[in-house]
Amino acid sequence: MNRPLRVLQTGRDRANLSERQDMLFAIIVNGIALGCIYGLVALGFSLIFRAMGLLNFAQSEMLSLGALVGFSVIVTLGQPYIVGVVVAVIVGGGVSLAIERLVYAPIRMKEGVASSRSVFATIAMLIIISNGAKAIWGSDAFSYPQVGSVLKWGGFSVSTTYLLVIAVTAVVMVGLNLILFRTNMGLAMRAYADDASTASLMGIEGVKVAGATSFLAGALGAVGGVLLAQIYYAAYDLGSFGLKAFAAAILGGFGSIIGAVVGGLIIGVFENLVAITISTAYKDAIVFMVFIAVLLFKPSGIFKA
Amino acid sequence: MRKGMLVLVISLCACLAAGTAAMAADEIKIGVQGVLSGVAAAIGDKAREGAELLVEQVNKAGGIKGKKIKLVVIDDKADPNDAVEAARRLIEADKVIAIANLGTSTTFSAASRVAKRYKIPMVGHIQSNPKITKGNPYAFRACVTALGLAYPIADYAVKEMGLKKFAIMNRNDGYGNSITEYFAKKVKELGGVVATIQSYGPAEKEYKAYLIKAQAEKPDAIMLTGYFADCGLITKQMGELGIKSQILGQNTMTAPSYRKIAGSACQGAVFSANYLPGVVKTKAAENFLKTWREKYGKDPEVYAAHGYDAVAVILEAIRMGEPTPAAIQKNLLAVKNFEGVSGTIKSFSADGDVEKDVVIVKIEGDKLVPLKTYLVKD
Repeated sequence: MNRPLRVLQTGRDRANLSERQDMLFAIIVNGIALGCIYGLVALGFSLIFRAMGLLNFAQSEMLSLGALVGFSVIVTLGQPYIVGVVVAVIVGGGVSLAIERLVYAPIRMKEGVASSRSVFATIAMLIIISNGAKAIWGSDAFSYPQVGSVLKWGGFSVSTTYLLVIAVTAVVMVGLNLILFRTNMGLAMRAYADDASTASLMGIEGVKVAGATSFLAGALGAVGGVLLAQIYYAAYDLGSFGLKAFAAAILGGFGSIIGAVVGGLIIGVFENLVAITISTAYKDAIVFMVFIAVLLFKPSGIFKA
Repeated sequence: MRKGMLVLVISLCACLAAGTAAMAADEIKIGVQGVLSGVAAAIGDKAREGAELLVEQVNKAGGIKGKKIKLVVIDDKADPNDAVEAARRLIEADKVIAIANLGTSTTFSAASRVAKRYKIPMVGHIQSNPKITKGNPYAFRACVTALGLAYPIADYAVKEMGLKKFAIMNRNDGYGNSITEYFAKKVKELGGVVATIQSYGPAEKEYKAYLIKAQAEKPDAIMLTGYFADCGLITKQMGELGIKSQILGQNTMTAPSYRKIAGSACQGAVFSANYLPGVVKTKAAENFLKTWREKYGKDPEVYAAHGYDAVAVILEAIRMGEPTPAAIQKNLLAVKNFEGVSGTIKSFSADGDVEKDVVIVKIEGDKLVPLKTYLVKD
């Protein structure tokens, strides 16, 4: 925290400091909200990796899919917001489940394990989903109804949109915890992730667990997509945010649920601080360099899976 | 046996081609190439609709000198290689006598070199890069360039609005860079100051750090140089940060999507536009607006009007003389005060660039209010 403030004070306009502090506050809230969305996608990466040992790059495309489906339901069909979110979740989860059943599972069957071929299959799916979304919705950018207003609070102002994103993520996290720790399917998923062969011997069906996990991951990505569209807009190219989500999952400790969210928050806030204090043009390069440095010292990430 | 089949197929094709050519003797073929799919599809596809509307009208009225007009349309997918191939196909296989180019500056540049080699006139609709028509007597365009969009808004901001100090949000690509270059040049010429240029990548969506750095210079105005989506997000994020500097911009902000993405923060934004429905008062423009509204139930966008005009000036040149490429090229240079639907083309320069009006507009509520018109000469 020291560095940004020091830089601000050496800025050319001291009289303007409070205005800049206000903006710095806004940018941190902004980073937290973005971090939440990275976290939601990262959770999907982690869940799938834990259950199937698969690096599913196509997970990031659930952002575009969720955002665009949400737009169609909320704006084009004029349905209430909550209906849009539910439909986006079902479509995101459903597509993710269908891909698992029709593509990843058959490849895994033939290979025995989630091999590098499966990873290439996920990259192929990433391109197919992205192009498919472009074919259906076109390349326009669609804006959601503006729900946020700017809250003034002392000297600080913050857009309620970001608070909403943070709140929704918190609710989703609680829900996910209930599913994983309070349902039989959750228990099966955890058991399968810990030791697939023992779990199978105990009568847990791998196919069902893989399906449920894929649905959950797709649904999480779709929620992230709706939230992202609320901040920016819905478009077929939102999947580019997924790369940072992937980094978030690894930073947090690949396979760790809490780690995915913490990793997302760290990257979200850090990239905004780098942009404002060091360089806007090279912020992504700097973020990823620090990411590599962290991995060199602690390859397993912050939390254990 | 196989070879025999091949020969048969080829000769069949040749017969068919000859047949269509013979049938087509009483029609005038104009090529249309442009970006009809992919990320930039809006640029070309709307323009194609404009061009097709024109041809429909002309043919309904009996064509030109008793001949019907036929458009041959090819998608260049915004790819320079495809654009070269499209131009070659239109000229060699379809035997068009002129081409309307509804692509980007990059694809226009590539395709117009083919046109030059075959001596076929090519008229662009909305390509803004000032350099692409230079040194090519067969390359024309129906729109003003980046220079024509940047100079008027700089002039208006300094002289009419009394603004002195500017920050530029530069979209770091061909379009953004040339708008930035000419805007900064004009501001300095008029005694203003460009305090900072913040360059962002075309794929970025988070601009707050750039905006905070721009605002640190306390500019009177922030100039936007991007497309509708990035300009929209920048405007929205200015609102979130409580930045109250005047917003300036250019043509892309006429798109309704700009206002939707930006929300209330775009109120009061002032920018230069090379087409605004209802501002051009020629008979052709009013007729176009009426027909378009009847057909599509909404106002035409800048691309449609320019797509219409790119083909319209070609047809005008054909009316002035023989329907041959050489005559069209010569007559385009002789066009005077042609009333297009996007504005009156006073004339073409030797470089094929237009002398035409650009209008400064302001966003008030959900209306674009025209403030002043500049006659631009590149």
